[in-house]
Amino acid sequence: MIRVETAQRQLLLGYLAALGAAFSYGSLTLVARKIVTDFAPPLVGTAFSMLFGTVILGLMVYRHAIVDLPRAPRRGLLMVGLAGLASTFGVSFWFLALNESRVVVVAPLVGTSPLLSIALTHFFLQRLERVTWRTVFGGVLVVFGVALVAIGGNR
Amino acid sequence: MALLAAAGFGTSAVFARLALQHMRATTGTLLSLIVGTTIVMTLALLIHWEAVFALAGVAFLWFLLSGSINFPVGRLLNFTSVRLAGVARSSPIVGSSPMFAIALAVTVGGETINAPILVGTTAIIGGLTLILTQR
Repeated sequence: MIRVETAQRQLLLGYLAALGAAFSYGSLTLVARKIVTDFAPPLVGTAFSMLFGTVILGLMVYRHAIVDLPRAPRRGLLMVGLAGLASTFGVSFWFLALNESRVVVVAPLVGTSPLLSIALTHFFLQRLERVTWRTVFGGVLVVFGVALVAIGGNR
Repeated sequence: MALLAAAGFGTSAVFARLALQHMRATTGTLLSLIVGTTIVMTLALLIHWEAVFALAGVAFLWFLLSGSINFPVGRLLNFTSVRLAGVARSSPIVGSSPMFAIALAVTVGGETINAPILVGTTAIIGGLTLILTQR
């Protein structure tokens, strides 16, 4: 009973964190637009934003890293490195795509990334997570909605 | 290229899920940022060397604002949600960020809503409801 309650509380906190991240990324759009319009090329803006973000986060949580790093297995460090690499790969190709094509084309295609995450989870993370039809259908609706919002936003 | 970008973002969340079995979300976020920053800063210096050294002082305040919102808040919450709720559930929720961007653009920026935005927002809310209400 207590274990079920703890799991549900953890899930709720996870949902709240995801909504917080979505709000944060959404509000960033206005700031990012100002930067690339008035101050710097997108890659330069991203580089310095990441540098400031790393320094601020480093000052906030370096104690956690000092404790976690010696304990983490090599596989964990490799995976976190790959996560950083893949994310950087995503940002770089995003900018390249925006350079080659219009936002109305690029944004809906980039917005399909949650579907890829769901598919990869189903095939490679079965030990850790169960993908339900409800999650798949919800993901498809979100991606469809994001595509429409991108199209409407560029009219 | 846009699909390659989606592949990058999509796989990043899966790698993060695997990594966060072994460390806290704070440590995972910091390490992933160190890797990313090193690569992006190198690319920026290689490609836009002159632009980097011609930056106005006020630009750094905007970079500070952007960096503060995106990484210590956005990515940390993203990694925390991956750890607590899993990739499959957190990815579509985080992916709904354009809805919040539009909400802010309408309320703060004074922009108007059109039919695709209205239908799209409804679809996003419907998708989020499906994901958030499952046990």
